[in-house]
Amino acid sequence: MVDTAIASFVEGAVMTILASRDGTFQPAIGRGVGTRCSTDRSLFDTMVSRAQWPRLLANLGPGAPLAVTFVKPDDYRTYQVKGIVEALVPADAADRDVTHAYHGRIRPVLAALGVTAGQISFWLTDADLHRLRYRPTDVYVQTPGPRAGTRLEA
Amino acid sequence: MESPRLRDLAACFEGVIPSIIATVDADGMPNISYLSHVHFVDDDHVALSNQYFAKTAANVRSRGTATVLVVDGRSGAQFLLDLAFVRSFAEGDLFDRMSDHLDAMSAQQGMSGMMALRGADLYRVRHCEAVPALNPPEAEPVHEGPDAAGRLSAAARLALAIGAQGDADTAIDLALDGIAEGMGFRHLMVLIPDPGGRRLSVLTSRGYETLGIGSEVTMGDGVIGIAAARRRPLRLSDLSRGRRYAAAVKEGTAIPGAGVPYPGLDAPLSQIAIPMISRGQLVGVLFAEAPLRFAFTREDEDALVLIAGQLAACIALDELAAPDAPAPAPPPAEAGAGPRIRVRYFPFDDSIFIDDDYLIRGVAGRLLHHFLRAHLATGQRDFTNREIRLAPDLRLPDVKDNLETRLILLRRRLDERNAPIRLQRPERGRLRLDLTGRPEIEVVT
Repeated sequence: MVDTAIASFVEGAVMTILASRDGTFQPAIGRGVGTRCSTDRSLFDTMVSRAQWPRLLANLGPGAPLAVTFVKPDDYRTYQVKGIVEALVPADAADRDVTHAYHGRIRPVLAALGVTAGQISFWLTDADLHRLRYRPTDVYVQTPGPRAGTRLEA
Repeated sequence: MESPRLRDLAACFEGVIPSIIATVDADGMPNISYLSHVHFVDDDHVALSNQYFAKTAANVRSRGTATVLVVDGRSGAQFLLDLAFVRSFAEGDLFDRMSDHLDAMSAQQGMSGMMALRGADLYRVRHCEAVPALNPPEAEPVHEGPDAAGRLSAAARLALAIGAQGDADTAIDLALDGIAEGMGFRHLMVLIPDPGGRRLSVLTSRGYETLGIGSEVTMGDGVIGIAAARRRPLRLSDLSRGRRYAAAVKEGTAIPGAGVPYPGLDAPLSQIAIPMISRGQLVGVLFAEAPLRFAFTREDEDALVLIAGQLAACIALDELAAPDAPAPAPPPAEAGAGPRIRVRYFPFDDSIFIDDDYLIRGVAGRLLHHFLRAHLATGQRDFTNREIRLAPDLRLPDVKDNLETRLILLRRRLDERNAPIRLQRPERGRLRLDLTGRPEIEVVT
């Protein structure tokens, strides 16, 4: 389902945006601050601040559907992962390490593109950090261009 | 927390930081993607340029709802808007302005013509909320100069002063000096279109190393060219994303080989161009830029539109009202004395060189050639606007309404070059050729 190239892409310096939906099908949005894949790549853990994105996480109990888009900001390479939530728990020390490593990777990339430290500080946080564990079911190419929207085969 | 009003989120709607759109498909699966630009319509509505992916479009059509995240391009503050789809549209003022902005941004990012606006969607905003900022950043330094109210009242005073001024030449300087001093916008130009509508020439400027009078930009290219070609104001608030393309944009905007360096900033972050329209005709473009992000607000745009309108009316009225002075005085005795002034004239583009230095081309070049030829033939130094308009070799009928601005351009260019040939204006409607030598014209075909 997820090859090693995709796994290392989502663990890299990529912008991470997530969508859930409530019982009335109203969507909710949030930003992720670091992702780690399981060794067999069947599970993804994306770190999210609950204090910043309460609506997003309120919808994400076990079994809930989820969309996560990963974008490399310097070349617009983009993948959207659809998945099903396995668990949502407060982040532990290892999870916080994932987020802090992510902070270190994404800051210089955005700074080089002209994004100011002040702008980044609005969302690049480790406050009230939660680990969202989900099982990817589909991966779509969303890089702008002719392949946009293509579903990747297993 | 109280819901923010959309009008107070102006810096979210400038297309600076990409927005995000989330939708839900018929099976209940969410979808999320980036979106270039959310446009403010009014306190209850926004419009999205319909550039998004097929899946997003299908989800909106099936459920009629979406949620977007918009980001204040200045501070980075984030806001969530829950939207209900109203209708699509593909024409009208809002559509045109969205299209202009998209074209200017894509040109600035080196992707001209690759992202034409096909359609736009209008949404009602059902709910708006701020995303909590957990570690609020230090405030970014604010711009120096007058505040918003001060800029507006300075603009109003300036519009009045321009309206009271009958002389176009004076009004242009009055406008630029007034904008610089009263509104704090330091880098300014006025440009005029050529008769064929292919180029615009810088008539004068403020705040650059050189005035750049006579330098040219292509109609339809860049912020100035797009605003002129479409006759609508255009404002970009943060060009830093396309920084690496900025040099290329400057190269691509200014016409190479025309001989006069274009005076623009090397790394502008904000630009605004306002077409000057009178009686439906494009008279010129008023342009401002700044090395700061968000230097020009929507209200500044409105204020500059008023100034540009007054300036356009003043120039147009000057053309109509310029009195035709009585017959020229006999040629003064000193005409023809002094050192040789070597003038080369290239009829194919009406360009003029003085002593190997490019001076100007187009109608202004044709005018100077006419004056010099008449002077050499009869010793004439004084010319009236009436005889200029009627001179068959000038082929002016199609541009007679813009004669005055072309004479202003020519006169200012000669002054800027410190040329041995100058034009004086002893009174309205009359020009006098001032020579510090004896011109010799070589026509190069």
